[in-house]
Amino acid sequence: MTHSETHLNSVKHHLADLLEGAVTAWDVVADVTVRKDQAEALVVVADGIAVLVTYRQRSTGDWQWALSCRDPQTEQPWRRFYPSALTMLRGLRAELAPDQPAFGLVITPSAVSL
Amino acid sequence: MIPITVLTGFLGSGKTTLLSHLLPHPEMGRTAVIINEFGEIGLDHELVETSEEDFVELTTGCLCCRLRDDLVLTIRDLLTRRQRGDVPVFEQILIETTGLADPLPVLQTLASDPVLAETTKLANVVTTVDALLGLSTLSRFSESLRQVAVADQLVFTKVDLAGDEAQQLRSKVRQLNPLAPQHSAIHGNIRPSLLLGSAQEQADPLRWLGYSVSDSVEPKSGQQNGNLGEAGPHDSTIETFSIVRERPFCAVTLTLLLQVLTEHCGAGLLRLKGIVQIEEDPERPMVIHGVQHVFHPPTWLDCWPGSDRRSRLVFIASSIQPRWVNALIETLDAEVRQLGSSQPADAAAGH
Repeated sequence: MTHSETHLNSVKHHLADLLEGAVTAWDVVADVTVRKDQAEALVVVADGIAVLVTYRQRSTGDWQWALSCRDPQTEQPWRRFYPSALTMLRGLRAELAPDQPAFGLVITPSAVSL
Repeated sequence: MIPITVLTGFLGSGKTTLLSHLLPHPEMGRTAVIINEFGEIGLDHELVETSEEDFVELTTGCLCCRLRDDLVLTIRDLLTRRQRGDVPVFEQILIETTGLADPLPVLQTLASDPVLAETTKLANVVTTVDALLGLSTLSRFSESLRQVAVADQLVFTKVDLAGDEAQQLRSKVRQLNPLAPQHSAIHGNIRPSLLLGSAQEQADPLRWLGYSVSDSVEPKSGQQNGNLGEAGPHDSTIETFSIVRERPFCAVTLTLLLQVLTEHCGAGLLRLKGIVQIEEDPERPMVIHGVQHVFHPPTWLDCWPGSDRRSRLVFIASSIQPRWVNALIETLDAEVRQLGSSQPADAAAGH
């Protein structure tokens, strides 16, 4: 198994927990359905908004998260790309829990670098 | 570093009685006491007898709501006066919060002020629990849940008045906070040394981590150990769980993990303590300690305290699933390692 395959399998294996845990942390009621053959999941929230979350390798070799959705007001589909799980979760929260407060990590002043 | 102890507990749970009995004790000499009273006219300070070596600073209002700046200024002022010799050289500070205070903002304030961070260290959170009324209070007031959940030491008061419900209360409190030792005090009578650990002792992660070891948590798994589901909507799922990981953390993975946790659930992360094996320096464990989204500077121990070198993170949290934390760790770690493995190839391709 190549390094990329190992990497993808790891992400696929944890995708459901990653997304279900996130919506729980945001106090959002959502149904998360994960495709078994791909790193892809559909997150459907109670008011009907559905966001498709995908993780795949680009032709350039790097990996990318994507969120796809249909704008509930304009009905226009949109797709946004993110370089990391960190930024993807930010994007997903902005769609599903825009009123959820975001905090910044604060390390007390005499902090040393991790 | 001057240790700070926060004494909290719900209204009528015996904080002032406890304090009144603690202060005359020889072990409490050279203690600066700050009493936070709610309301324009404070009464509690009238009930506390002080000796020459204790000084009581009074504030009005609730520490957790609007007087956090006042708390910082009060402590800074005390430190300045101590340095100038205007007050006796106190060796510890004790803060009594109001019974309605959510202790989390207070802890955050103490941890995040640059001046206090240089000279003081949060040593202990002592929470009083009314053995007679505690069950009812826990089910009705989310503040009381949070006061119990973040405690380092728990003191049951009025145990002489409580009946069979006392054991049920202890069991519930144990579920909510299995890490904190439980003490009993009748009429506030308890030895200060049981409650007021030094900063060094408090910083010792072993007490918290002993919890995860003794509970035999499987590597890479989470375990939920407490759930009091009878309070307000934001506190209905306060839980304690631990994450144990065999594989060392990349420093970047740990940084990203803390960033995600604090960003997405800062208010729900009541406390997090951990001892972590860092891949870049595996012989020296790193100790982390956070309250909500504020973390103390990570510290390095000279060596591992025992043969167990697994990373162990202990959470007291609301709305945070252990399996989410595991998924975060694995996903972030996969990304970091993938990026690390691709960079040399990319660099080579670029040349």
